Amino acid sequence: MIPLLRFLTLCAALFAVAASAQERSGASRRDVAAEAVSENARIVLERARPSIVQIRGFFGANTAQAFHGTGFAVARGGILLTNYHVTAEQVMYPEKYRLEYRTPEGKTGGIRVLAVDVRHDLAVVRAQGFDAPPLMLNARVPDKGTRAYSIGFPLDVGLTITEGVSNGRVEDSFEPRIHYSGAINGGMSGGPAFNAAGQVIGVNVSGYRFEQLVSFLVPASHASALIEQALAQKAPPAAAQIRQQVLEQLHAHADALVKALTPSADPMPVQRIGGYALPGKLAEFIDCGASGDPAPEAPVRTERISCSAKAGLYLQQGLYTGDLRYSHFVLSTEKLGPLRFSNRLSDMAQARGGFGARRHVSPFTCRDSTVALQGFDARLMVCTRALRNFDGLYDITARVVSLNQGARGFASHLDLYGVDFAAGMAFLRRYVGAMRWEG
Amino acid sequence: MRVLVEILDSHGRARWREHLALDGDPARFTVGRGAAADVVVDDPHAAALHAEVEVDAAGRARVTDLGSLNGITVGGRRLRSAHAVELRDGLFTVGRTRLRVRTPAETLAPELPESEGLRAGVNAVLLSLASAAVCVGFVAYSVWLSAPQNMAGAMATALIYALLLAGAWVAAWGFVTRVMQSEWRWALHAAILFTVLGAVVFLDWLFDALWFALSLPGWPSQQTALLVAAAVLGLHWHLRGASNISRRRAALVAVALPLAVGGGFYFVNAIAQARNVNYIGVELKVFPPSWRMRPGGSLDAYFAAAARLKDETDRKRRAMRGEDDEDSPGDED
Repeated sequence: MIPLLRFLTLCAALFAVAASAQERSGASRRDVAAEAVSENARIVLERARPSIVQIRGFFGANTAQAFHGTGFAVARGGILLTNYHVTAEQVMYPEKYRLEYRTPEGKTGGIRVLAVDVRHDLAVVRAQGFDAPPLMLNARVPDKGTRAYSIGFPLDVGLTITEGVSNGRVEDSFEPRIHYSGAINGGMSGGPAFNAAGQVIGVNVSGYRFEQLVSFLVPASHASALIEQALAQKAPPAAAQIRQQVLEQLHAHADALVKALTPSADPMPVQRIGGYALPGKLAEFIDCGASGDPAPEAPVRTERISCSAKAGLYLQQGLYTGDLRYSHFVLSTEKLGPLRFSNRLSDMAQARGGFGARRHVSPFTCRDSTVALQGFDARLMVCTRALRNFDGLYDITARVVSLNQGARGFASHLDLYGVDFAAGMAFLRRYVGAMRWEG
Repeated sequence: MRVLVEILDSHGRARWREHLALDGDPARFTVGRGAAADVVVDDPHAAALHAEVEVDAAGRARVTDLGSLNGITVGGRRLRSAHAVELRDGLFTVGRTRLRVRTPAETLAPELPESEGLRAGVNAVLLSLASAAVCVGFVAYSVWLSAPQNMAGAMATALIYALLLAGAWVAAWGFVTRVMQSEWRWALHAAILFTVLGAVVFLDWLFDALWFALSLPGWPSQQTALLVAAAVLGLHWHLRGASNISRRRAALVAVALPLAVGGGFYFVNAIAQARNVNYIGVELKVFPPSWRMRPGGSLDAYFAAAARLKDETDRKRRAMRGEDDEDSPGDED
């Protein structure tokens, strides 16, 4: 036994030496490649540098900034492209906020918003006294795995380039986005993202704060029409005109969302669970996840399905709109009697409001009643509140609890953000109407 | 004539007794701080010769002010230069000293059999125990209802907390009673607390079950209304039990205090809730389906009514116009 062990140990030691030798030669090859890539990043940055500015927002007469983002030249005469959400506070409160640009060399000047595209989170602005060569846009979405770079002013630490990989168009997203596997941090919003040839493929828009390098770009193809619109204008539009555009675009986004969820002829797709047919994955772009409680000693078994459209537009701090989320909690028990089971069901049905800010939304108004659905009765509560700064857009929150079985039941939550009242209610009606008891 | 003059403490019990053997009809004696008075009171607010009391053969007593600075209080009213004012139950106040004049002609309440006091005490104890049992039952029920993983532990914790809170409440009222009446009356205060509390919890549960059975939306102010009613009743009984306060005055305090305090809290809470844009007041309480007595309404009717939410929501939005924007945004975009 011992000689065999000794033999195996020897083999392992030999293998380790071979592996480390391979590692060394591999490392030297990679060093060369890495240097080449970094060199490319340097070239991209140097070429783009004169055309990129930091966009800063100031509250009132303050000289300390309230927020900041990035912008880049897309036409001569100081025409810059950035994210709408970088300009949003100034668009909504022009008397309270002003925007300025600042070049990497420290030159500053005023900024005027020319055109906005809220659905794609883009804005074209004019920087006074700034005229840099425009960067070239490439409307083609790069393939998965191709090298990409993103430039901006993250966390106010100066002009920065990050290196990553394009993962092509995000699959099944409501609004088109490029998935960039690289770092995009706060302050880089509105900055350009490049392919290896130094052409702009998209505009930095967002990243997941607690994930690793999952970031998103708005494809460059959406910028062209907006730039043309901005250049075609004879005079810069008044603040009220831009706000009206924002409102119309938000309505268009919300209408498109509800329409995409409401096929004209088909009944709503349902998922069967625990004897109930409940609204399932309503469209390709809806992201659904299901989970259960595997603990066998729990007196109540809970299955949960959560779906989200991930279509929300980030307008301002604390304001997401044009989105939809729904979840079903399906409960069953063999251990609890009807009284205790119904108490559990009540707990699952409570509505806890959400995270609206007072400057964006009004308080809720609710209605709650028992209704007859297909094959069963349910308690239905609906609460609505208005978006304060956008006429005709509402948040709608609904809760449904089944009332037909003593040891089985569900609580369903539906939240619509920033939708037209009638369209939202019609959707809710279809949503509730699709629920069915099948036994 | 033999007359007994009692000097009373703040609870109305005799602190000092003075037997007087008086001549004449009516018999007369004086009250004052000076040595010349027949009944001497140790009270700086009394005059040297403060009042004269005359008692006729029928036992009726009348009081006359002998020119004092502070006057005489009879039947709760302070009289200046009173002249032959008839006393009720022989009670009057000189300065800050309460006195009672008793004569052999007085009528006394019949003698209490010894068992009756005992029975009253036993009744209070029984009532407090019975109502406490109901309350403990409700605490146990609510723990049982939530079906926690560790039922015994959750039950013990809830009961200990409930009994500690109830104990503190009863002790506080017992202390007040001890100060006012020089007895504790634990059983009485425990009976009041547990009866009122039990009734509130039961009614709240009953209403919830009733709204559910009848397929009606809940009444949002139900708990508040029940709590105010409980506070009024409970405070009235506690006050009557703890002090000599009159029924009318106790009722006044019992209504005014909960309305002022509860109304204040309610008002502040209502403002906070109206300001909170994330607040949803509706609680969906669900009971077993077999309890239902009325079928659900149609979806058409529901959504026809829900369409009215828009007007109400728009009204709230309009009501917010003109408010200042409090929070200013910041950070990177």
